[in-house]
Amino acid sequence: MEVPLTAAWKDSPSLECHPVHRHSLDDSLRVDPRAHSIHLMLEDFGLEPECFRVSAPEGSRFAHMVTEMAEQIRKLGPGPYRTQ
Amino acid sequence: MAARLAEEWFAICGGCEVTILDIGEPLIDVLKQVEIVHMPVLMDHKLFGQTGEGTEMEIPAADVGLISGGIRSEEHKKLALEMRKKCKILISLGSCACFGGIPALANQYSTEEMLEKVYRDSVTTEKNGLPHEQIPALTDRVYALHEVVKVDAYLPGCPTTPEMVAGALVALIEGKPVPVLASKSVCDECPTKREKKAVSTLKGHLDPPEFKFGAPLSEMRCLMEQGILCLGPATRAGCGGKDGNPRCIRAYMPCEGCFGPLSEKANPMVDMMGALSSIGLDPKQIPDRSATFNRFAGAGRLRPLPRR
Repeated sequence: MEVPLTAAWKDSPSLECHPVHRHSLDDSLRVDPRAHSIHLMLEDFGLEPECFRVSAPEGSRFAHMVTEMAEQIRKLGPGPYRTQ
Repeated sequence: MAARLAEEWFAICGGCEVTILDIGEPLIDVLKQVEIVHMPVLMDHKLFGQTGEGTEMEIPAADVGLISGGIRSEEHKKLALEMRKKCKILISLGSCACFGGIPALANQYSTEEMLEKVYRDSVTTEKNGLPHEQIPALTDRVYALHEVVKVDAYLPGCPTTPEMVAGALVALIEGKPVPVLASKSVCDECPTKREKKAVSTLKGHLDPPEFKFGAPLSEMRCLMEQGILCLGPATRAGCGGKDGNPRCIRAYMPCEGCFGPLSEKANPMVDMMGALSSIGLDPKQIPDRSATFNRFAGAGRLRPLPRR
């Protein structure tokens, strides 16, 4: 699924300020709708929406989230297209 | 010497053949320079010899071959290979031949599921056995022509435009290459006005857009910004021809995506999701997203969802 996801992000880099200290509230709320679309797309492609998460760039929280996500993905097992 | 033309139709409605007729007056000049050697819709040329004496399907040699329709049965596959063997230049005519078209929407289901639905499950159908006598076997899915044989030129559209067919035929008769397809999107050619204000609700498919009849299209607001789902951002431009303005937009209708994805590798679902989220529309409001975004491009893009 690397290609479609890369394509989804390519036209505007989805980096933005942390929601608590957003510099421009009008412009920076781009990640939320895009993340929502990616979850929907994963569902439409028949993949687990849990494969994608959004994180704030805070070291410790990010590390915690990655560990949690890795655990969850291990539980999900190989992708459905790979096992077929 | 007149150029020899062969035409075949596979899984298709016949609209692209009507387009050839729709070329209008210029068709008279084209026909003077063309000798049609095989065209099931127009002439009674049999595949196994005129009296059925042949053992193999045969098509006469031709300079130009046109094929409309996607490949749905083993017979189509054999005919496509035969056409490729006998035609110097092979052209995919219409969206079904280019990307599978409407019949390729069935690629979302397995052949068994599809047959069960059509012949047994549908409420309006009497439960009967599946047809099996004297008919060719179905292929595992609908294929676009280029997935089975090498194709030299593409004329997409549902139906394709008379201008494009005439342009391609005239170019080939004169020994020139067929004009290449645009690499821009329908939005790049669309004259409507973008106000860049976010919208949140999607209108129903039959809800009319706001426009002033007779006023130039540049005065109408972008249909997507009016909340009408338009496949312009993920669709190849070129349907407007010389006029330039996309055909459906000229009729105040949203783009349906019949000219196919922006490139061979493009994924219309990803392009559309990006476009929708950038104007604030929640794609969750769209029912059956995969089919809607790949309406004409199902061959190689739509497939049954994996079982869990």
